[in-house]
Amino acid sequence: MSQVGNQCHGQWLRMIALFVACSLPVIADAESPTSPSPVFSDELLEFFEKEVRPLLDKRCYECHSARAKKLQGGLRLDSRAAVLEGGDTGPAVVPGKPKRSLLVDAINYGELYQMPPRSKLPKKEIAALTKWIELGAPWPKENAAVAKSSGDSSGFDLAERRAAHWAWQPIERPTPSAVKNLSWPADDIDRFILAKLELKGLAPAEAADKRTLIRRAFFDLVGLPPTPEAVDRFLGDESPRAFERVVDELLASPRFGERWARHWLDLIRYAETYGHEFDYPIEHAWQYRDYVVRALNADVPYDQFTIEHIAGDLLSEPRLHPTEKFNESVIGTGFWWFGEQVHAPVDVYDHEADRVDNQIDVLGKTFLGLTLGCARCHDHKFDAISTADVYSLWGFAKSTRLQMASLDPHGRIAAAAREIDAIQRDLTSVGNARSLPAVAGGVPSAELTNHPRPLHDKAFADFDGDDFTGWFVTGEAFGDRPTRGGDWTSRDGKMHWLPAGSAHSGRLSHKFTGALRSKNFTIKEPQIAYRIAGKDAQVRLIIQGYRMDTFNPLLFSGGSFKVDHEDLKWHVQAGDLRNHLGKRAYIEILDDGDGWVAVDEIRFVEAGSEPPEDASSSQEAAPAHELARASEKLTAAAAKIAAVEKTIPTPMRVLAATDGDGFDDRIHIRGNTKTLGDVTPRRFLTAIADDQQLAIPPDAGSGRLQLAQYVVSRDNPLFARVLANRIWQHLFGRGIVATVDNFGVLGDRPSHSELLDHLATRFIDEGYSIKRLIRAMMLSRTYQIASRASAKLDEADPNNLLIHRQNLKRLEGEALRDAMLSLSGRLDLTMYGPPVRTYLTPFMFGRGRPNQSGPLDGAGRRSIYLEVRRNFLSPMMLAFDTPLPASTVGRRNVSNVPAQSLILMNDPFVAEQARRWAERSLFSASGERESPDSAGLRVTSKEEVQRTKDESGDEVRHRIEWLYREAFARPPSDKEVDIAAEFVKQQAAEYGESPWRRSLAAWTDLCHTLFNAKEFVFMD
Amino acid sequence: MHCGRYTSDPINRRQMLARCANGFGAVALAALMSEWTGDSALSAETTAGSQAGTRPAATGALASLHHPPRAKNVIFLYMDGGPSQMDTFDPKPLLNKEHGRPFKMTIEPTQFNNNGSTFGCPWKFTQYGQSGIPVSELFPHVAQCVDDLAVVRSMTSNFSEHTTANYFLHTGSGLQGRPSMGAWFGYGLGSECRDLPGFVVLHGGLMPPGGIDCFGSGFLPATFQGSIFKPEGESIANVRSREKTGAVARNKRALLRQLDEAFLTRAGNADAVESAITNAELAFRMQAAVPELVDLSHETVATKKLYGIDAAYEQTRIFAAECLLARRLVERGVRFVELTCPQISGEDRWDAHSALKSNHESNARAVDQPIAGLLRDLKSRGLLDTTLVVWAGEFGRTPFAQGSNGRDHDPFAFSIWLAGGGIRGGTIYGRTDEYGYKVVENKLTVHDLHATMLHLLGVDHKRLTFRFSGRDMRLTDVHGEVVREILV
Repeated sequence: MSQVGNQCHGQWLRMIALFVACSLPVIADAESPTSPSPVFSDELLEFFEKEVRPLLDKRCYECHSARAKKLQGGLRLDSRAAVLEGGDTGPAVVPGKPKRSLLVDAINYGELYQMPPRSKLPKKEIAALTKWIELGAPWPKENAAVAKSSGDSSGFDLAERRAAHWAWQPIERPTPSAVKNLSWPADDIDRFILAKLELKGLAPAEAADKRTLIRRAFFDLVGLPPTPEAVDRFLGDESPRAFERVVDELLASPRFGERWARHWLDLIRYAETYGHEFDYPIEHAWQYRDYVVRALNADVPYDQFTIEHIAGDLLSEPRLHPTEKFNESVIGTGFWWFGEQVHAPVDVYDHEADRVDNQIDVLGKTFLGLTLGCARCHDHKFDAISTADVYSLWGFAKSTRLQMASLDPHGRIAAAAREIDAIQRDLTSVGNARSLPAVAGGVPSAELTNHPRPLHDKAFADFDGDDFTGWFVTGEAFGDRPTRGGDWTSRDGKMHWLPAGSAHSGRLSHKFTGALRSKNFTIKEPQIAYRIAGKDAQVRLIIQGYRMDTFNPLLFSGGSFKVDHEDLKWHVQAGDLRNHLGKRAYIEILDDGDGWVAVDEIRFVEAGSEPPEDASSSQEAAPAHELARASEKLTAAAAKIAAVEKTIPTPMRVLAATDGDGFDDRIHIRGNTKTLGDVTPRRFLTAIADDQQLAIPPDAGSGRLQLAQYVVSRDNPLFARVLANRIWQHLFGRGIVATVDNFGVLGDRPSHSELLDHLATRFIDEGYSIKRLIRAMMLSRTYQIASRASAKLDEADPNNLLIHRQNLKRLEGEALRDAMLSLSGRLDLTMYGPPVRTYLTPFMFGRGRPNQSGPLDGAGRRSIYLEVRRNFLSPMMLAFDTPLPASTVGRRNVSNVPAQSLILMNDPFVAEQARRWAERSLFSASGERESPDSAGLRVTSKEEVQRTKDESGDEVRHRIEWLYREAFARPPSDKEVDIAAEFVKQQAAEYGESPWRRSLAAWTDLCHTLFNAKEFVFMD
Repeated sequence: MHCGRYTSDPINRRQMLARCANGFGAVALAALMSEWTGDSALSAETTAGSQAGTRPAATGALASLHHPPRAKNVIFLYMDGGPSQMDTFDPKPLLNKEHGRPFKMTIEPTQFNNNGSTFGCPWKFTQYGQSGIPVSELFPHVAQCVDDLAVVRSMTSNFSEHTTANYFLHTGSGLQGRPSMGAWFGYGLGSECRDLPGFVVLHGGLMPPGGIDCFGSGFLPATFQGSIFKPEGESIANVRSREKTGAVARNKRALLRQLDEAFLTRAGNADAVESAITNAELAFRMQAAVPELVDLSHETVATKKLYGIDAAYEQTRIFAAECLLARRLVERGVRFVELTCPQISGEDRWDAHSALKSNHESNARAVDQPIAGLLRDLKSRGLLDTTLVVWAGEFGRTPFAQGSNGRDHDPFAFSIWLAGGGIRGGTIYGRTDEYGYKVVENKLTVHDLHATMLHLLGVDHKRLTFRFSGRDMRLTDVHGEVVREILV
């Protein structure tokens, strides 16, 4: 057997014995790299030269010296000054203090580093280096020039990079150059395009014919084929504004939002499960999808839409749904939470870093076209983005928390809260609550029978103040303050008095929902004790933003607990808490339903100690006349409150963000969560907002609203350009900047930079209206030219960079599926709501597989309403390049794989739609407009009808024409009719059943083949 | 599912079209074109392990290989759940000596945090072959092949959760959504198969935690995704023609050709349309090729026996079928074949959090004979010289108990082995501490493994890149070194 590996060598025992006898020089405790190098004895220097330098040379210098091809970790070990100065994570050696020296930790394979990385050093070598440090790290005198460490040689100069790259420059308002062909342009867009073509002596392709154009417009705007009637109407409309009418109609169609929302969801890595091992659900995710559909249909200005995404929960005047009157803006913040989440991470800090990295990556690519993730480990290699820029953005994400926000359609919940509050205010005159328990109609709330003991010095919260200072309140349940003397609550038709000094979610009414969240704190004790009572409520400890413990408590046991006891009792939160000491956390007290929760006190408890015992209370009696008067008042109040409570609706729940206290993150040196560097105050990118911008004030919460305003600011040259470019891509098949998510140096340069600025300016001028920009582009001549040009033009501009023709586009999976449903008559245009469960094929397996499959045809709903389970994505959508919901994908792959053909040929969904379409053709084409019912059971009932008209030549021709017009927006040629008719005849001969079945099978084969036709799959 | 890149070189296709009088040619020529693709470059070279010179890769992204390859196909035997190193290929007598006593090293955080005392190995080790590599009783058949194996005892992972570790092993990143190694091989090297996908996953019944994203193409084109084949029944989704008669299918195909022919002409012979047509033709052919592939009736009784197709244990039979199919796929030029383990009732993969003994015995019983059969069969047919076989889980297991009789996840050290093209058989590489808990010598990372695998197929891992998200992405990220010590 051959054993490959390092061999031990060196006779170290001898060496160590030698140096026990050596006298140690006096070493200053905190010798700094700049202090003069001490002078060492010859013996010590000999030891260094013989035993240490060769070892360093052999084991370390390949990566940590002047001869390293690429210096690792910024650390050099070839001069004493460099050793003392250290690398990215600080000094490598503290002379005389091996235990405090990172180098010693590293060669012992410590937590931070394990060096050398391949193999641990032999014990003797570890001993030698340790000894060397113990001896004060002797080293011969070196001159300053040699000693100077390599320092920061990356040459990162942000200002220079900003100046050098086009995307950082302000948006210009260019005027198009003069063009020779004055009659062609209809818009400035055309002038920019034509000018560049003419420069090369080229001209644009001919205008597309009207049938091509309307099919193109339908798929581009609504993702569905035009009906033959729509085509006929357009053909019959000879007005020069005919196409404008089509475009306006389509923009006004609710189908527009459904089509374009899918483009947006690709950017936001939208999913309805968290992925990872068990693919746990992201609750209420679909509300966000509906929000996007509504916002696009309502043409919400893009700056507003963006602000809503980043900080919609913080708007003082949120946008309300036009009819339902709930807060729309807050739903946009759902975008923060669609990333992958892991359960039971062994390192919860690392997991948080991965989540935040993804959040900032999506934010950067989507709204700015910047790859901020590239600066996680080092200043950006190419762009004007520093590592500090990135971690200053991380602070926003880490100051932000997930909430399942309660929305209040028509403000009915808020109104009820105001009414109840007014009724309760009237009761303050009732008197000393504590004296009233015996009265009918005024009973003590059960939780009040005990007093807490005096506060312990580690109390975290006592709720004895006048308000919730230091806490974050959402929803109506907790009101605006803790309880105080004289507070009452209504329950079961009676008034109950409440103790002072509790956070109580049932004070106004048990029907309200809400949450109370603490500020961040560092877990320093292994137990947290809550003096708490409640019903159907929950307390959660959120450690480093980790929330998956409710699905799987592994490694986070005890972090969440239910409250279901009516007496105030101490509950101790412990379990795995002991393993999370030193982590950042906050407490979340949730009343999500008809129950309530009262928290009297929260304290941190040392290991081994118990929370204090409760002392029992005594009650004082009150004079009888006072009781009688009070009783009357209370009974009346209880009745009034009960009446108001009947009007309180169940809130609408949505996934959203909510503010925590501001947290400034530290630079993670080399992206490593264990090597934290300087604090980076929250602010926007230096390259856009420069250094002068204000950091977010400490009391301002997360500061996301300020961030959002920076993002949409006119000073940000990326914001409008990035979106204008995305729209261009969707309509022309290729962005002006082809790398739509990356406007950085490694991205493509704009093919028409003036046009891009023209579009961005227009977008801003027209109030960031997405619909107006789409309309402008589609009404340009450029949009309306043919996708096929002369050979001469194609040769001169082979990749169509100058846009001498439109681009041929393959339909996306969603459009293809929706088109088949549309032709089959199965399309159900119901909008919104929970997703249709995923249809599970035998090829979808693994953990987290739903135990129930959805319908094969997705209940006929448009593809945007189908469930998006990260680990069980639709095989058809995957084959047709729907992106994985991992990060922003603004430009989909357009791949060409046999799986696509296999699906079109053999997938039962496609076959079923073909059959339905054939049924429609057999009925509808001959004038009978009814469509077959969903189960397809009408087959036999229509048998007689069909037998009579099936074989007539005219009927066949008519039917073939109808199919072609439905599928391709054009009639077939005579030759095509003949071929199809012959085909149907041939096929019918193969099916030996009843005439009706034979006919249906043959026509189904024709429909199926038309689905497979490239003309159906492509849009020209 | 899909096959490498079937579209052939655009210039050739253009030339071909130019020769056609009516401007239409691709459809008629589709079959011929894909034959071309299949026969080009790599496949014409190297049999019986001869060292080929640097030559152009079939239809991958690389214009030419970076250096002479030692292998042209990969079979990755994925041991889902993480087999224990000290119970398979890394004997640690001290463990048995200290069995039941408190574990002496510092214990890192573990997945279940239910750490018991030192836990001895329940199986005996014996030295085998010329090399004398010790193998435990769990692998009596594979043990007979040790002289072909390079056992790496110093493998590590960055993650101790299954899903992240699976993504890491497969894609070089712990995050969901990156391209799997098989996709990278296909992207770089293209495919040699005529009518099968270039990256095939033989699905034994266990989908690893993390799901199909372990085999995804991530940001690479969907063309390079792993195609999941089931070893029996309808092996790929939608590959079975549902047509009633052959004539029905032929007529439809003929009609489709006519329709597409006309459309292609009208679309000015656009490349995208032409490629889609070529692909449809391929899909037609796959309907015949795949059933032929999975039909084992022409294999000899002796061959089947070698793999254990007739074994008493059902899971052995399943894995035997996978291994035999792996050979058949390699014979047909499929670039990268990955095998997943069969489901064993009552056991959760190799993930022996409790009852280590029954867990590992059942799992080893399922895979041992089929793997040995595969190695021998490949060798006897001269295919082992050009096929790299890798056996690995996502991490190892702790030398201390979880509870009383299980082992938790250990990402700090585990054993894997490699065999076949370019591998120096009979080698042990790397060393763990005396308990097998952590690597102390020649630590190997997943990136190093990937770099070495690519190297063996003639690719410099630093030069196989794909521009995404503003970066030139690599399978090995910014890491990875080729482990030359285990190479011939």
